[in-house]
Amino acid sequence: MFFLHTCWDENALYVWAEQGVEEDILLQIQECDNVSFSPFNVDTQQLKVLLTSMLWAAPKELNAVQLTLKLPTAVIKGRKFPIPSHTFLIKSTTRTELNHPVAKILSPWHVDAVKLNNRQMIALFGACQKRRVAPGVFFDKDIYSLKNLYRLAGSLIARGRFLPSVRRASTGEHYALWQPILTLRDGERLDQIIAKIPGVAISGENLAESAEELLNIITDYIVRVSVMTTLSRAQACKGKFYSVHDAWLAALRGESSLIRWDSQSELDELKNVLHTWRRPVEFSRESNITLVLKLHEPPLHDQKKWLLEVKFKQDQRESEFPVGARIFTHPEISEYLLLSLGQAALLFSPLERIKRHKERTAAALTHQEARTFINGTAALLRACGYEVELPAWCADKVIQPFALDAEIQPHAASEVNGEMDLERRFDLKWKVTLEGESITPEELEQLLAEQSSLVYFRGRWIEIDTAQLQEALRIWKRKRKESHTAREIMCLALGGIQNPHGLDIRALTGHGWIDTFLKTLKGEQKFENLPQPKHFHGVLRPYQARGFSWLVFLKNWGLGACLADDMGLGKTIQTIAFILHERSKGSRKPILIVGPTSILGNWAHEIAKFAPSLTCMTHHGLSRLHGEKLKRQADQHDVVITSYTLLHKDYKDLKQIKWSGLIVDEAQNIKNALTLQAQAARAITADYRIALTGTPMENNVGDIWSLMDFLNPGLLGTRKYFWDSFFKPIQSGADLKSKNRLRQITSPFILRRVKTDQDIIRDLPDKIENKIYCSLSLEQQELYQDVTESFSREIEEKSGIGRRGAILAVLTHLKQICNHPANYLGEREDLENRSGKLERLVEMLEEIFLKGESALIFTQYATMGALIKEHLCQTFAVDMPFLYGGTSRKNRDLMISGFQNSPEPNAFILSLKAGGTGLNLTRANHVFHYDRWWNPAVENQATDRAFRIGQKKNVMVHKFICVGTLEEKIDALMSRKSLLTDEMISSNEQFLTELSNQKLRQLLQLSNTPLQQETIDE
Amino acid sequence: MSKRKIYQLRNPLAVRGGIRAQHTSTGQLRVWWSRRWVDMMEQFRLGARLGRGRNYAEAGQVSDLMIEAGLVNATVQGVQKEPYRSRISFKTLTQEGKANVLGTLRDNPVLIARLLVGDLPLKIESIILKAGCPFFPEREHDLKSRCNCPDWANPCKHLAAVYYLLGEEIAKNPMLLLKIRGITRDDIFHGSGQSEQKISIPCIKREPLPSQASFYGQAQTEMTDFGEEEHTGTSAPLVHRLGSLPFWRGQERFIDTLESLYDRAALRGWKVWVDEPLDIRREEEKTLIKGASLSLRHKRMTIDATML
Repeated sequence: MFFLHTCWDENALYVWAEQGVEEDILLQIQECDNVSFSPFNVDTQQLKVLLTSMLWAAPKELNAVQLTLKLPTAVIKGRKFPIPSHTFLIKSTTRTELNHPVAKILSPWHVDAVKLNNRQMIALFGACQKRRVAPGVFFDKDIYSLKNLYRLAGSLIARGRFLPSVRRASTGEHYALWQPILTLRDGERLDQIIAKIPGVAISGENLAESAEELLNIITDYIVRVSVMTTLSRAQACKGKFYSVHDAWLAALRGESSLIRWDSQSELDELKNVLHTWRRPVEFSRESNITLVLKLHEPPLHDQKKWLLEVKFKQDQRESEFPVGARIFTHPEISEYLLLSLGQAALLFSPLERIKRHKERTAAALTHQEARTFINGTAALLRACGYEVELPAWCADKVIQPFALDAEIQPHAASEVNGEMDLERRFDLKWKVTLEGESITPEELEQLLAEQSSLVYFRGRWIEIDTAQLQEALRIWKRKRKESHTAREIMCLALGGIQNPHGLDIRALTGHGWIDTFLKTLKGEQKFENLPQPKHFHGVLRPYQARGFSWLVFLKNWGLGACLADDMGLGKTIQTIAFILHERSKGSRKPILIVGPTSILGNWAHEIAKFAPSLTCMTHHGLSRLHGEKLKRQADQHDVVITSYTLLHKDYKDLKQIKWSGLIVDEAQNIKNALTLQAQAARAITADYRIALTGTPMENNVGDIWSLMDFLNPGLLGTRKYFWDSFFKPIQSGADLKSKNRLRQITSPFILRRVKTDQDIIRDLPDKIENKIYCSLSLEQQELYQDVTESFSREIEEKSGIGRRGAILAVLTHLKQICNHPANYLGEREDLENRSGKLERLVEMLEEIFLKGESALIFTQYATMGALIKEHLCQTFAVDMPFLYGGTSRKNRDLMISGFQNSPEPNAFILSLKAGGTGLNLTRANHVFHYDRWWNPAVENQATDRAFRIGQKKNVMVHKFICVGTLEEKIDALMSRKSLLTDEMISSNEQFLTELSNQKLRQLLQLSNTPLQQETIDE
Repeated sequence: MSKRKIYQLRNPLAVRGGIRAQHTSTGQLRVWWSRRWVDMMEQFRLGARLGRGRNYAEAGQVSDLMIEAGLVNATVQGVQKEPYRSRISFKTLTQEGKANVLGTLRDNPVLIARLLVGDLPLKIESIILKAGCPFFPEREHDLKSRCNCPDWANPCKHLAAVYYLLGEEIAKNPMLLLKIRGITRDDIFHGSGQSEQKISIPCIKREPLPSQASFYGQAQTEMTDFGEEEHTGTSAPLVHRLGSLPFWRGQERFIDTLESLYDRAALRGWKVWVDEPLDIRREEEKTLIKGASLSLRHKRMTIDATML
């Protein structure tokens, strides 16, 4: 396991790494006075391997150096050893004093490091998107703390808050740089960022200074990279410039920032000129002074006179602009303020008319000037660092007061009762409104006659757009009726695409089915609650029936739907009910279900259980069909299940089948539109599409777009349109309006219920039990078959105690194989992609952690517990407590309090025996039974660790079962009432030994399942 | 050999680090007060000495130039070993006149504001004239010039060089015209009688940083607020605020060029801001590395190379 760290030291960024070390090695460290290598050090060669593809650099481009860092160090019995960033990097089987070091000092240690150049540094920040870089390789927190600087630089650049400058190096050369210019607010942001930078990230005394220097370098490089290509070739090659300014501009755009100009004095002069030039915008942050421009609207008695007042603010105190003798009181401030005013006047010339107006220092403005100021200059001045105050009504209303009301009318009278279809055409009859009130054409004419965009309308000042006004008049006069399809009207009603007139649509009203449809879509009217499908085996909870009806509603209109219920609320069941309903309507084309490999078994199992009338095939494994054969097979089934991997691998085969529907489970797999599986999913044609996901996607705007682009292409417009009108404003954090608008458009197509919803809780039991059916990997299948075969031979020869012992042994072995091959083989490493259960566990935990929830994981086998802990550590880079028989009392209490009080979600692994009694772990609301005890009493007791008095959250219980194995069969046996006698329950697995050889063989044999987990190479 | 011929052959001694005129004659004419300055020099009927003066100015023969109230002192390197001393004196405002001018300026902050950003409001001239003093130098009743060179003509080429450089300085900084008449920047802000004591500006006191919870970082390191989007209509608002660099001599137009650079930078800045994956590789590199995978301890690790 590797952790990547960054260190900023003497104007360069270094990357170094830590790796896990066996405890024995640590104990062997000899005491020595010289600085030695940290035992956790990752050597240069490995470090380069880790960094090569991440930084897009060849190994020889990476500059390897040896770094001496002061690291936290423990002194135990006179010997020093460094404390790693995560204690679980010390691999120990027994908990010793190393885990709780007694003394901590900062002591120097050598580490191998790679010194990054600017380019590699930016690449590093750009690449660190997820904590986990690769299996077992993680970025640590320090990189993220420095990445904040990188994102701040991005924000400053996007807002144009940087200026070109010249810096003179101590050696005398001059360099052209792009330098960030921070406002007071940006300065606060920087301080916040600095406060979060841990000691490991920046060495040296002055953290704040170093961080600012790093911000400077990042800003310069991002701008430089962006403008590098703009240099004309002639200039670059000949290197001949006609003036120092040319040389400077070229250096601002060059790979090297050195200014190639001979005259030192001219360079110095340029430096001075630039310094003076930039001074006004830098002064503000140093002195905490801002010039305030406040626009006063005309008083009622004199409708002509707008005043633009000039004031200033220092340390949040407003003061009058210094004029006359007041200039003397703080000459430096006055000079700065006057300079600022002069510059403001360059941007907005009416400021040149400033003089005393009674108690104010202000400039009088005309309507036209006031309008220019409100609409454009104000924002520009704000961006320049001035504070601008506008009348309250300017804040939100100005932009588009004109809106349209529309009445939907049938396109032709004869079609009133025509077919309900989104392609049907309707007429829209427009009505113009201004500020929510309808307005007559006469009033419009009157407004137009005023020849001004600032008008006094029904008692107040409003800003109107003259182009809009003319458009509004045009609509009134000529285009009062327009024909649109129902689909277009739907988009208009949701506010999705800009309507053709550039006016907002306030209301759309109509009659008949279109009105009902729109209202239902917007949630103003309930959709039809369908009864549970006839052939459905089981009972849908009320909210599940609603979810299934909702899917049917959208499907009937040919619209894509995303069911995003919380994990455990039964997305699969609702989908199965939907498919049954769908089939009962006589549709014959097959439905394609796509999901991650680990859940294919679950789908097949759930369909067989809840809808045995459906025929279902799994397109998977080495013996899967292709081409015509596949097509013929698929056409004979109701449902075809396949994995994302095969979706793009067998894309050509799947593409030629006419699908009735395409259902993608764990839809977060297609959120990156650039991946092959996402492209394949988009390219498969189907009558309707459904996405299922439990991962909240609504927080990421980009994800929403991907999802909607898959479900209802075109609803959110082109990618470019989406980027400009939603992504940028929302992601920059400022724009609530766009966020609401996006929610308004997308919410009809996403149904998300969470466990904590009041009306969901009503429908739910306190404890929800789900059986999770996992598939076996190829390796597991082979091992399983080997063991059962040898057992069949063995059992015939034994009887009595020997027979009983053999049966119990084989049960253990098979269960271990189902858990993980390594559990059976006694291995400790290389756990990835070998066990269906473990893969599924990771997938589910990812979702749980994302929601900030915690889990308990129970297993019968302490060795499996250790493997789970090892693998989860490698995957999530957090130390997970693991409680088993050998845990000391003291450690046990530490683990429990650590888990209960941890700020971050975590999982607690327990071996069932150790975790049976006396524990209170109510922080978790998910309980996994990784393997089965087949004794409900024991399992329930374990579950109750999380489910104690005071637990407010509903507890989800996930029981893992491998498809086709003894686990599935015994589970089925136990579920049959006749077998569930008290005796059997209390005797656990003992009852199995009573079965005949024939029955035993049937029970243990791996049933023929088409499911084979792919190896990663496939 | 006639004296005249000798005179023509002899070049002035070279000066290192002299003040060089920056071929800004066209630049100077862009502002109205530069045109007035040139008009004034033409009144002196310098003839050929104007050209020589310019050559001197461009060659950096003027090694020292001091501008004070009512006085300009310069050192000009000529043909002789010892440089010549040139001196121009101007009429200055009376105490009363100065007080009037300062009073008017302070009551009209915009006039000062414009002066500070390198502009010269037309009104300034009339304010000075009203206070009883010429604004632009006049030959009669105003300036007196002297140079210790052997040339009998006044202004000689040395003085011409000084006028030339003065013109250039004034075009950059019109406040010099006021300084010549006895009004300095400090007069405006500190009052004439006062000493130029600096009043310290209250600086933000940086709070001591909170102690670091842990050497390897706290749980919540990532931030979300990096700024607010501003709709300014330009990607280079600061450049617009500050205006062009004084005496821009580059071949490309300053603001236009910078604006186009800012446009490009803003696009990338946005990506960084919203944390889109950033790829700064060149096109040819991208195709090479796409789909790169690396192996480490027999494990295959693929790193998403689909970032764009």
